[in-house]
Amino acid sequence: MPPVLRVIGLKKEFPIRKGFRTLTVKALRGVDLELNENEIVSVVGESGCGKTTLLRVLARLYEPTAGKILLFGEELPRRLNRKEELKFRKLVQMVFQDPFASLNPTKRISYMLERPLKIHRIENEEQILKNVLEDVELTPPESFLEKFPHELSGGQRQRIVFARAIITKPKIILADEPTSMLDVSIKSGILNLMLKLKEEHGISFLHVTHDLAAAKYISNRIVVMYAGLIVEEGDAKDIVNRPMHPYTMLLREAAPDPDRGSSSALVDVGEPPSLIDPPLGCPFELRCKYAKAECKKPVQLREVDGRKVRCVLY
Amino acid sequence: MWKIGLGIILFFVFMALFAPYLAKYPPNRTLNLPYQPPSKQHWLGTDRLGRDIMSQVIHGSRLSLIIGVSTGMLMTLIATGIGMTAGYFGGLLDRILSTLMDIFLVIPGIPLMIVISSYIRVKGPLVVILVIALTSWGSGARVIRSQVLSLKNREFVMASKVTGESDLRIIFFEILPNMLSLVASIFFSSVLYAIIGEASLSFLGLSDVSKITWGTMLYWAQNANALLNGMWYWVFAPGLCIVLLGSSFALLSFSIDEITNPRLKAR
Amino acid sequence: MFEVVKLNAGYQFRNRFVHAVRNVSFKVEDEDFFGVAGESGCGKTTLMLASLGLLKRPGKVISGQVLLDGTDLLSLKVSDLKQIRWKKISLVTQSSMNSLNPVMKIKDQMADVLVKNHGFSKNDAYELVKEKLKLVGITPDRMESYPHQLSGGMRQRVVIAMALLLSPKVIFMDEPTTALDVVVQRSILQQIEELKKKEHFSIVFITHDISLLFELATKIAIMYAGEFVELGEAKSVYSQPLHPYTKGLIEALPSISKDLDKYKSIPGRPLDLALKIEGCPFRDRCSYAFERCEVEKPELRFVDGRWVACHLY
Repeated sequence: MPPVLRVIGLKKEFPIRKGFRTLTVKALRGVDLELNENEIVSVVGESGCGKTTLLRVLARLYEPTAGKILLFGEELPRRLNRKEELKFRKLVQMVFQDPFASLNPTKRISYMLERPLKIHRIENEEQILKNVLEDVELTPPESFLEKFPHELSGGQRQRIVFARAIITKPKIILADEPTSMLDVSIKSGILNLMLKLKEEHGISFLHVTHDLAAAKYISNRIVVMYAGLIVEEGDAKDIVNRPMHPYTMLLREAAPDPDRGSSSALVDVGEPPSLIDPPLGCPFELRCKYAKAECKKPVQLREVDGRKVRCVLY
Repeated sequence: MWKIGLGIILFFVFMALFAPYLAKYPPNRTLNLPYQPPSKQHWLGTDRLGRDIMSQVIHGSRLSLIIGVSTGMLMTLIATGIGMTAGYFGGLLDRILSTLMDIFLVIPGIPLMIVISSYIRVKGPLVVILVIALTSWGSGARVIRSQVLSLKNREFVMASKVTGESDLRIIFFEILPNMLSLVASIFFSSVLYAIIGEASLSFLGLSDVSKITWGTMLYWAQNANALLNGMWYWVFAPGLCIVLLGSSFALLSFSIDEITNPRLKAR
Repeated sequence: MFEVVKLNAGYQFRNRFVHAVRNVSFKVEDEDFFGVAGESGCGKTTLMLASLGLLKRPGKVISGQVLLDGTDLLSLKVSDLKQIRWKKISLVTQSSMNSLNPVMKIKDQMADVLVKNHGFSKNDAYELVKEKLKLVGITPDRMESYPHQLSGGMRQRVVIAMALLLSPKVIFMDEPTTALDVVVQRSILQQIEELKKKEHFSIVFITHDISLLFELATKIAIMYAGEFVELGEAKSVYSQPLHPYTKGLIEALPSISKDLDKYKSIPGRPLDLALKIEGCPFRDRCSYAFERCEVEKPELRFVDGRWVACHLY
């Protein structure tokens, strides 16, 4: 079974103007990724690592600078005509971080759910709307259809966002920090919803988050990104319990953990490197306590013990 | 605040609608000797053709309002169309349109209108509307473009794209409804600008001065050296109307924020 | 040392009163790390503003006392309160790092308060600023920088240094690290821990990130619908939560070290604080609720070395 989504050598650069010069921000510097059927892969990293850019390129909101994207084994051309684009949008959907900002405040819920059906010429609207609201556990469905976004709570809004995403029966959902703006008591509800959608609807998720614990809970695999590159990839529970790359170890140490015995001596005052002029070698070298001379040269992503790591230590 | 503005506008609309009934005399009929001072028969005296000035003020509201509002609508239409296109599509189209906007912004409006009007042979209300609208849409377009730029990156617009909405639908059905108060505000300030613009062009004799608007009244008053000859009322009456109507639209334009942004509502 | 006694505060609008802080009492001892945990809309920010006399209209304090070394801060005149603020008690908020004056160098902003309100000479002020900046790990050469030249994490350190200028006894922090990345957050929090031991102050830390508080705080208060529903030693509250809401929160939090199969969310939504509440405010979402919970509001009772507001005990 070929992977549902495959990314090869993806690069994305943004031009920015500083005075009279034009500089480029290299947000993605060569990313290879696979998403299989019935799988949740979480992409973790801090701000600026490129995870959101990755998602937006895959959603065709940005055009890639270089690299290939394969959907169900077929390469996607740079330009799609309207018919091809609609086919793509039916299969690949996206969910955003801010449940209030991703719903048009001037439209009713029924409108927002009907639009995808109208665009893709799907019939039987009434029944589908009811079904989809039940799928996201918003019952009774009728009471939600005529409401405006501001009349719902944050958790309810996010469920509507998911409802809109699954209404065309997609195979892939790109989820950009879907729980980071939700209260603690609501977060796991949405995480559980994602697990349910994976199991019952066969949807694969590419889930971007900075919350390592949430990633561990719902993912099959975790991908760790730093400064536009993947630095580690592997089984979710395995990566969190036994991190290999020094940056993954740092993330693990830094995450809040009520069960931690005593505070560890983590004194890291470093920052990610500039993406305008990224270092040629390992991006983490300046902050790494294990850094050696060879880290200044480019380091490849290697397979070690069923894990992929970009580090000279392995 | 806006209630005062609305009240004034309704007053003038009423005046314009019922002008034939409100005015004592037809505005164009010579009824008496010219340049008569105010009297019981002619509250504001007579003009150079012996016509009743008061009736002219009342009838003048018609064309002044029509020209003002039509120009305002046309200006807003152009500004919104160009501003949204430039803001949404970006790239080369944006750069071309922005340069166009900048050109029209940099050239002073009224002198430009004067120059163009003096070259055009045809004169009339339609010309006035076109001249004002086609030279002054720049600032509205800039504002709309900025707003679209910021709305474009809001997540609900990205969500619409991902759902598969076409660009046209996104512009008109997703972004525009979120800009209604801005468009309304631009409309009101455009009408204000148009009223002043029409008055200025007419005052300089660059419109069809045989038509009766408050602006053309000022032209004729100036022609007769009204202020030097003690006929200050001939200038004051239409002038006051222009100021009142203009201010009322200004009040609406400012208060639009008050109505839509709850944080600015008076305590 | 610092004590809040039966504080009631809220926001007065034309036709309704939002009762955001309902009869809250707590004590902060020397070098305590007192955590206030709660979700959005529970009233924790109002609690902080009310305790510091910073509530502006339409907010107001209805009743209660805020005692600092015996003096009730709420009964002081504004001018006296200004003297105490920054000297004995200070504040770090989430938006602080974005509220720095963009056109002043940071050394000038920090020295400003000292020179204007507390009679320092410019040189003495700069010396103190240098000292405190060193404490938070900012080198003296950075004193000449403008806020936009510093990263988010560094700006927040500057704000913390400002809070430490006059060596206050109690520092309030409202979501000080929420806007920062997890690694930066961790290093700042570690720095705060060290400073607390060195400079001997107490912290009242308000946040919705409960796992953080369970890890770092000595004492913790769980706030719901304007009240403290559980209050006690952080580690024991975590290992043996008594109140159903606390239990629900812990069960809803994915853990990074444990390998649980399922996490549950708490059904329902938080209460509207403008409404009068009959009985227990949590009863609609509580799986243990029984008849008494509908009628009678549970008071805070001392159970097993902890305070809990629940009829189960």
